[in-house]
Amino acid sequence: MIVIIIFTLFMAFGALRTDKVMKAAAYLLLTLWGVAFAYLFLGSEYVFAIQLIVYGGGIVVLFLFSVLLTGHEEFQMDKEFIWNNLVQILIALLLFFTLTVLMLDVFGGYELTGNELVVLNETQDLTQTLATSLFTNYNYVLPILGILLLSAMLGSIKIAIREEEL
Amino acid sequence: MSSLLSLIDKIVEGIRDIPQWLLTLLNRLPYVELQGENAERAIVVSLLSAALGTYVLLNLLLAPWIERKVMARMMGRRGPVYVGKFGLLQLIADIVKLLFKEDTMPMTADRFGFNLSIYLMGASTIMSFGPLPWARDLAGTNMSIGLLYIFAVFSVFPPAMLLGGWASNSKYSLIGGFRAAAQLVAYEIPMMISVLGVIIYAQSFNLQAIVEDQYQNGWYVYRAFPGLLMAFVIFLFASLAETERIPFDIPEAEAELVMGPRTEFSGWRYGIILLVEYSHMFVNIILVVVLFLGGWDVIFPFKGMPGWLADLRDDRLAQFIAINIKIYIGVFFVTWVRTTFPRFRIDQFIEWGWKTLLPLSLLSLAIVGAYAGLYVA
Repeated sequence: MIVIIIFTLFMAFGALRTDKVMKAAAYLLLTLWGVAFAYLFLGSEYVFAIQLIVYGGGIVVLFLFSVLLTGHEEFQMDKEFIWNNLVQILIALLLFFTLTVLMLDVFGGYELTGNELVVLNETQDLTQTLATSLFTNYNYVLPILGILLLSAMLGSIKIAIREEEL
Repeated sequence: MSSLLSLIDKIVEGIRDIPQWLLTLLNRLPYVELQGENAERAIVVSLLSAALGTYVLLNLLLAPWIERKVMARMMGRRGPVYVGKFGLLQLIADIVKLLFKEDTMPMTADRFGFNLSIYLMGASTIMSFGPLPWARDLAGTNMSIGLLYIFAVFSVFPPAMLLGGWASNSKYSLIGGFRAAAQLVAYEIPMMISVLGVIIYAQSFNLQAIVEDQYQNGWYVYRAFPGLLMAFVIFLFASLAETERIPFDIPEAEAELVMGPRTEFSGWRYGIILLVEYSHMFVNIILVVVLFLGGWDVIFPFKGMPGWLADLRDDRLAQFIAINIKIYIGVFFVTWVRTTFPRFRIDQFIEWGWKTLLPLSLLSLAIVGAYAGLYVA
């Protein structure tokens, strides 16, 4: 677990510090993989798979396509330490601190022990439990979300068709 | 006959001692203390998975040989004949040659992306073999999300292709990478949607559960009559498109693009790409067999089945042989398609994926949903 955390953090740092956009996207891909494996080791296989499909596959491909299809100039990173950077770091730290406090507030009661590393063989019913609860407890949320996504999809199709005609 | 049986007994007795022997061997290492039934079971499980993995990789070596042989016969040639009996060792010779070649990288290439794309593709391909079922209770891992896991692992391909194409810093690679990513994305979606019908019937992502349901109630090809048949055809087509084999090898159309995103890869990197291509094909064939053609089921269930056939269906060795026969029929089919059809054009092909296959897969899903609504309350 610690190895995965360190790997993810390093890759995130790499994504911030490279000077080529494509390289940053590659680092982002690795970061998202790291996050996915963190989910797996926390015992949630389903979220692991969805994370890989949606973020590891779809989102990164979108990034790469948009980077390659739009013209971009390779920009030089400022190597000097300037005033702006300090403010950015401060804001990032503040956000991190707030998130940590919030997380501790919500999940503070639980403690992660070694026992929660789930062996894949023994979680036979985890996904089924998830599905059942999705379609019973959250029965009213799913159709609404579906309609929202469908309308977004139809809207994008409309935009694409109009562009073709012009 | 009796002497043969006693020989088998002796072998089994010899094998039975191996885990215990390994356990004592491991315990001699410093800082290692393994005891009890669980340790022994863990060793047995890892030995068996190693055996299964070796078997799968050997099959991966056999599949290209069969493909080359069949293709040669269809073209009126003889195929590989010199290395080994019937040219069986040709692929091993190729691999040895590739491994000992000079490792070259274009000077202007991006080192990080160039390596990363190869590692990502190789690792994800090997990972995808995990949850495939080979017989009842025989699979690498019995994951509850088996099917989703395979798709998740495969979804790394488009970014890896695009990255590799960009990193080689060659125009052929870049165009090829674009084509590969566009094609993979366009055909991944109908593929996933056509599978949803199977999921509705099996009520599980677990590949073993999917096969078990087919064993009990009949294969999915002919259930929910037009619905799942449509899904089968769509899935077959989309999986052929995903593996980028000849009628759909638009990304590496050698007349236009040399070898597409893989143009600059040579030596062991090319070997890995070869492995990735063939194992991608292999996994996709196994998926087609498992999802629609009954997996390890010997023959589809029908009324008035004779007793010996019912016994055969329960026999695990027969199940193992059955899925292997089905897979090799699949390999033959893929080769047949490869030698028969000419290549598509990229814009037609992608348009076809988005505008024809996607609505058709949605339609098949609707039909399956209507059927399932009749049975499942």
